[in-house]
Amino acid sequence: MDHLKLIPDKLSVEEVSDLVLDSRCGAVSVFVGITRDSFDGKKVVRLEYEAYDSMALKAMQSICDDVRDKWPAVHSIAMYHRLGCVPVKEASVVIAVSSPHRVDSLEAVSYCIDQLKASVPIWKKEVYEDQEPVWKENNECISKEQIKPPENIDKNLVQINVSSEELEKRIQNFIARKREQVNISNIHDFIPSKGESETEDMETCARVRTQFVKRSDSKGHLKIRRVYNEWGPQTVSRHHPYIKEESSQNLPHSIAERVQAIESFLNTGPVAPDIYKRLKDMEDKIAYLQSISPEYAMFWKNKKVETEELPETQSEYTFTAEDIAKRIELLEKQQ
Amino acid sequence: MQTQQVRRRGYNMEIEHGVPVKLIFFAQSRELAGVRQTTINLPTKIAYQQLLNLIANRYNLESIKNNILLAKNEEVISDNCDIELRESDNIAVIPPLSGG
Repeated sequence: MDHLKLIPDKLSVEEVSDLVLDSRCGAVSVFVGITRDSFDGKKVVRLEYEAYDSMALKAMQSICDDVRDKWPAVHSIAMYHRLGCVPVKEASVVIAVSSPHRVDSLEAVSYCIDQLKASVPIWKKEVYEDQEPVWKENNECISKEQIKPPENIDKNLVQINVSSEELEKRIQNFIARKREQVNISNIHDFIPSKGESETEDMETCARVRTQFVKRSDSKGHLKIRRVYNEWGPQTVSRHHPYIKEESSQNLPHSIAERVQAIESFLNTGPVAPDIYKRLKDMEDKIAYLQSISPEYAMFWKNKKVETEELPETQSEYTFTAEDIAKRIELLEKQQ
Repeated sequence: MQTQQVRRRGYNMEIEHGVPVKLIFFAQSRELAGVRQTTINLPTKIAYQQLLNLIANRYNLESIKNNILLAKNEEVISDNCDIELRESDNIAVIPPLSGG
């Protein structure tokens, strides 16, 4: 059983929880919402509640239906909300749920109060001791989320900046134009010009003067119309221009496509295009270092064997005059 | 006079052929509008935004226009479709909820 009520009188927690009692239920979970005496340091005197009664009761009923979907074990639900003036420390809402075991009723009662705050048209005004009263707003309230403007949209991605009415008008115009085009092509297809079918007209009782002509390039008899888009989503690369993709970074689209086609034909797989640039950079760097540093001589061993020997022979000329004299002496002795 | 007002604001509506609809205000919107409920002539078909603009403009609700929902016959209306109205329908202005 669902017990749903909006009442102007003081709520009795016991009365509400008694409503859901049942001999088969080992658990009754109760939530009691109480008015606080302060908000943001401001002293609250009382709260004033009002509701769109008929809609509120509908919304509460739909919460109950949801609960029974989610927790089939739930036995009874009671939701009482107080309206009008509620002094501080008194209950504004009491929800009681019974079930054979505690898990279902505990979860269900928590769901009920969350949903009640989010979707039941009830409003409260906080009346303060020394400030203007304020209509409150639940954080759970759906309207806030629905109305929140979309954030973080790159302005470059927005192509049309018009009101939704204008947009609607443009869409309607577009649909109207397309319908017109379809009409015209239907007329062409099904009512061929008089010259062609004048003679047959006389002999046929068909409602439309349709002429079925076998088309050479198609199995159907209808004319095939191909659309060549000069510009549009179909002609633009499917990669988004704002999401930079490496494969099309340096090469024009047409070239990149050819490269990819050849690569896949040669089974070399697509290679990141910047690998060539990196290879070239590395080669250039090595060449540069070779040209300035003898430490990289090992790189030129194969090519420059002759030049390597030269310094050795030349080094003999670095002997001093004394050394040469000694050497001559030695040679003379040997002889 | 209503017709004139509406025409001047560029709303493309035929008020003369409209239907009387009950308009109900709650909470903050009730205080701003200064009435709890009233009857208004509306066309049989109107876009959500048009209706919202019209109500906000005529009932002093511009300040909370972006925070209210509209409900037709106790059902919240989605804001991207046209609303079809018949006599004795009621439209409720629903400010942000604060029950519980």
